[in-house]
Amino acid sequence: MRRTLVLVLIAACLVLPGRSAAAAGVTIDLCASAGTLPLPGSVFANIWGFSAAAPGGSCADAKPSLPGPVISVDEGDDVSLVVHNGLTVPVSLEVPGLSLDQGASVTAAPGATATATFTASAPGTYLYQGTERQLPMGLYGALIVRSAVAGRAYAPAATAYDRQEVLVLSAIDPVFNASPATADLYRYAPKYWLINGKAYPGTDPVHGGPPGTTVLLRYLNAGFDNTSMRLLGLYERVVARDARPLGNPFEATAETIPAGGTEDAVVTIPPSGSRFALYNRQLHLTNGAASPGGMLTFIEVP
Amino acid sequence: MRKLIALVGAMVVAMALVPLPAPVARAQAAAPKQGLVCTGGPSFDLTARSGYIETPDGNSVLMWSYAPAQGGFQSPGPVLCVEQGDEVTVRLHNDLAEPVSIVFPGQLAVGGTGAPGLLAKEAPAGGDATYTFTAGRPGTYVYESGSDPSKQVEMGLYGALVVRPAGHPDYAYDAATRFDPKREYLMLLSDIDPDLHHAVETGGTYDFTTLRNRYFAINGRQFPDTLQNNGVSWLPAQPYGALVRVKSYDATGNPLPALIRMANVGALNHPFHPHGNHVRQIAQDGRPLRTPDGGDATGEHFGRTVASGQTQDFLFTWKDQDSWDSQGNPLPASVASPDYRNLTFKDGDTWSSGSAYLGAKGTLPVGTASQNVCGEWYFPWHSHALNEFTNFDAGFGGMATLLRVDPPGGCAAVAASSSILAGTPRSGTVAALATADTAYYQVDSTATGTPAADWSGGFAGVPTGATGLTVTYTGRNSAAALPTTLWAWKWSTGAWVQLGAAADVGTADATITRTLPAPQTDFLGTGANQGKVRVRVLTTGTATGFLTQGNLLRLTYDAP
Repeated sequence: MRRTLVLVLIAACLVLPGRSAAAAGVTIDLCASAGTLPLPGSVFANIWGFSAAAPGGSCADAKPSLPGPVISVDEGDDVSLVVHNGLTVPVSLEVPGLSLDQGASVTAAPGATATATFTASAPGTYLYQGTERQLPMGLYGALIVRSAVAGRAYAPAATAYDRQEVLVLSAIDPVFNASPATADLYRYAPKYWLINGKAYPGTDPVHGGPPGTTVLLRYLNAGFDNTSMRLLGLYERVVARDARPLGNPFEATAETIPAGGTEDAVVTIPPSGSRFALYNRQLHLTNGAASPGGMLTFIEVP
Repeated sequence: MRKLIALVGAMVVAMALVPLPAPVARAQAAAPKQGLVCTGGPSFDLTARSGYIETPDGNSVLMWSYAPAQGGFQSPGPVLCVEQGDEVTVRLHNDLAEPVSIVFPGQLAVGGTGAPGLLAKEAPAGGDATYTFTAGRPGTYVYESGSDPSKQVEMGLYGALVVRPAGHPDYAYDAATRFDPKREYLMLLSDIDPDLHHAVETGGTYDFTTLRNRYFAINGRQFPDTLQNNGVSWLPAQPYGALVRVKSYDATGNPLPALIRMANVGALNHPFHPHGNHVRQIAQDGRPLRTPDGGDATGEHFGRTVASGQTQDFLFTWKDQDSWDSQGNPLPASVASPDYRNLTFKDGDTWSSGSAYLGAKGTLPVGTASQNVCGEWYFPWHSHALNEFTNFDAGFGGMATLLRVDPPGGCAAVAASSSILAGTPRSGTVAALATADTAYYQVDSTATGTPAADWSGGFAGVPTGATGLTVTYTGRNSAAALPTTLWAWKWSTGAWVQLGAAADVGTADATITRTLPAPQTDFLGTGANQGKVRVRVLTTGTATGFLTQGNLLRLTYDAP
């Protein structure tokens, strides 16, 4: 059984809470291609990115997305991820935390495809990614395995939520991205700090809800740094790390998501206030030397 | 007083503290010498302004800070202490040339007045802003700039906020987190890139993406300045020390743990690491660690990363595993005595590697009084990102302090001088009174009237603020059961005061222990007699002449 899953772009922000569904075979076609990412100050950084293939698996019109599309599957699904490599370099795909039938990763030669298959054995927030120099170029995205328990990210009641938002944290060093094959990683020094591929003031808001609404924040750190995110005016309850629920969830206003790690936290919209800042506490709040900018957004209450 | 001291060895650092000059009087006159210095609320007046801090390598760095409106510049800003439920008002005046603001992470529904800003209402240059909130749940919090944070937080616009449970200043959160209020400590971690500060100072280009920190501070000071008392005169803009002091756990005398509040206002995550001990983390970001059903989810650590912007609270109880005693068990056999070849002596300080244990005194170079104050232990606490254990790449320095464990019996001093009031010296010097051994300080009694041997020993260097002053005398006489009394010199009245009843001392060594009456400060000299305590031994009770042989005259006390 093969069907193409609806891929939900992050910009659409419409990943629905998990539905209980019978285990199914799911095939997702991803295109890897090169392009540019517009950044504040009329900067265009070279990127490589994944994007959703057109129906039928065509990548003829692929434009890279940074991060790649949010892939959502149901717990128990048998998943095939097909990478169509439109780059001139090999592209790998791995999903830390999920065991691929092919081993740690699959690699598609330039112009070729490679397929990673796995069973979405446990719910949670996973990062799918390329390797090494492919990562700072932008080959990464979120893979959500929806819990079989409706309305929850995981089995425990502490992971219940009304809405969810995917927050892919990353950074761009345009100098590296200009020449990824030869740039000296020792000198890797990001100038732009991104949430879902955008820097403030271009970042998308996190949609809250009326007071009492619970918003699941799915953090994924695709950057090189352990990243500490600050919340103002409310607390988040950290309920899972690396797609595993915590035995002892805890509340935080400054929580660190390790490089390569994921984390799930639940925010409850408080009785008052309409705008709550969420930002990089390590002060990466500039676009190059220009301030304000960087890894900053707001949870907004309509 | 700034020194760059080369330390020999790597892992274990111990230090002798020389008696320090008295702290200068500050606006907060009641500030303890060590530990958390609270600025009480619930209304606060702060001024954002610039000033300079000094670093141990002789540099000075331009900082911005929230200074008390009525005080001088200080870095970091004052520790704001309030109670849960307090209606808190923080009035901010801005003496800087750009808009500034304050955010209070962990506080809910912060209101106030000011111009609209990125993260909070702003005070324009030369203007004002006000922040109001109801103090939330107990805990350790930070306050920091919400305006151009990449610049203003780096420049130093930060401080700590402590919310105490109403009516329970000795609880961190609840009864399970009760601590000894005399042993409450804050470690506010920060980091500084002096090139960025120089850019601000000179109007150069400020580009945060070039950040490279060179200085790493606790409470605004770098090691070894972190060890100095709160408010020392030679660090006028850095009023807060970071030395942590505890005493050995004792079920009756010292049952409560110390509380160490950690907060990181730097841009980096700092792995903080106490040597030789675990500390129990009880909370983070002002929220106690609990299981889902409300049980205990605290945990012990010897290496915790305090993330940028995060706070963590720890309880610490130190238990003596070696039954240390300054006289009977000064150095456990399992611990090697310090080898002087491993020591560095400089400016009256002694630095050692090779042993964490410096409990015994011994021969020291001329001019060096002792290895430490009175047999205490020192354990390093520092950032284990070892590049942060430096001042501009020169180690040791930076984000480090010491844990000082004071001896359970207190500090011990021996008589440094003696004087005979009645009787005549036979043999021996005051040095014979240092330890109970075979050497005696011998005084023949008077031969006429009622024979008496009456003499005194003088102690020096007892620090101001010492408490628990207790005298121990061990000696014998040439006749049986002679009534012996101990006395102490009361400086305030210029008279001897008898310490308790007479005790009989016969021909075998006997020991008398007496605690000085309250207020003990009357017995501690001031001015020209600073640090002096005098103790008198009077023996009478027989019609014939006799010989008194003093073996030990010791003063013990708790150092301030």
